[in-house]
Amino acid sequence: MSLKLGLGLLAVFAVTEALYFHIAETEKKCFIEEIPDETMVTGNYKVQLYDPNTKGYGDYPNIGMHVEVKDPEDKVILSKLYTAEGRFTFTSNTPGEHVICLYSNSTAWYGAQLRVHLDIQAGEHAQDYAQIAQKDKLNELQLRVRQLLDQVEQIVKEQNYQRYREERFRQTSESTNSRVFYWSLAQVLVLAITGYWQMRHLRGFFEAKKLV
Amino acid sequence: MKLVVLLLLALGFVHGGEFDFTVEVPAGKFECFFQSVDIAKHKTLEVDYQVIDGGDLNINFMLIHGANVLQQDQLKTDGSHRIDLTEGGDYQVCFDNSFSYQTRKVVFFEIFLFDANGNLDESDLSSLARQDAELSIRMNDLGVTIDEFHRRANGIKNNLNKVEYHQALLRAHEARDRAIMSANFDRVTFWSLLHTLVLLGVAAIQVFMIRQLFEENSKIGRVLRKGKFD
Repeated sequence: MSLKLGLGLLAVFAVTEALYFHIAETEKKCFIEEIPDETMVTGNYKVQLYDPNTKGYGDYPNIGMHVEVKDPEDKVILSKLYTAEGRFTFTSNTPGEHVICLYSNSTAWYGAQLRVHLDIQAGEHAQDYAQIAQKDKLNELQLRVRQLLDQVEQIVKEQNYQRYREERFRQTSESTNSRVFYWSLAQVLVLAITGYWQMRHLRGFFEAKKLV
Repeated sequence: MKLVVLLLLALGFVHGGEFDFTVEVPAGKFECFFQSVDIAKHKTLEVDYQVIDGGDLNINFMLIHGANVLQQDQLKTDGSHRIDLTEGGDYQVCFDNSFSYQTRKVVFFEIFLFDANGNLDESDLSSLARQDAELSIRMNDLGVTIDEFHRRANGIKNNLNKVEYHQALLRAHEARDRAIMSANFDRVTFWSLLHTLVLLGVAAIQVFMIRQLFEENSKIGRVLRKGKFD
């Protein structure tokens, strides 16, 4: 019993070592993760509520946290309501900027400040090595090598993604360049045509008025 | 039961002493992120940040501990600060976009916590693995000790961490350049369109004015001819 409690506290303590920030009741806080495809992202969070009696932040299990994840095409790939402390995972299908938004669902504590501890890890850092060691029964050597292999694989994925990004960047850059050129050309043409039309119109006007 | 124990342990060991986030700081807002520091473990704190989108790509930065402002940057595009930790507690990393009334800023920042050896506070994988008594024997047959292996593996891990750090930096640079370029693209399109419309508008007004100049019964013609309103 005490072991379970001790371990539970350890789990709680672990997330509290992460970054934390304050949000208001209905405020939405978003984080952008730019990741290659087929990359797993894990987020651990913990929410605490400001208690005016103790002037500190305490745990209230009734607070719910809504987690919404949008992919680069603005499609929602994860939208779930979690408890005051939890963990969410998703794997990217398309490379690009994924937006992870957190907001609390309860309006019962109106005007209160919430403290959210959050840790988002992507790729190799999101892997749970304890579970992998348990499942595949790996010894020290195997686990170490496995971790290094995962890290290298993630680095290679990231490099490929950067190469793809660079190609897209070059395309957009060239498109901007040609757009500038053709717009200038078009404007010169418009100017010439307008000038010609003006002269013709005014000549007709003056001739009609018998001034010329 | 054992699985539950291990899973709970896993929650504790899934991350090391490195946190990176990309956040949006709305116009006129002041956003702070707090990092708790355990002075027993962490000896050095490093914060790197870079503005990747929004307006002039600058932001005010502050590193605060308790009531003291330890580091401060005004209107910088990027910055890197490394401080030696003497006290524990919560360190605040703040981004101030209050000088901007319209543009939101997207900021990428990383916080590193180093221990006394200058290493990142990483989890100890050896404790998670299956204990294998024959391992040292088998390794001795190969002529390698476990310590030697760990040393080499740590060396590789540090190099890979450096690679990841540089990749993150490059990724932030690329995102910033992409944001600048799409802003340029929008600007070019907008101004070209505006120029063309102004051109056509001015041409029409010119023709209209000249016609009115020679028209007897028009108010505008009289104004143009006489040069005064009557």
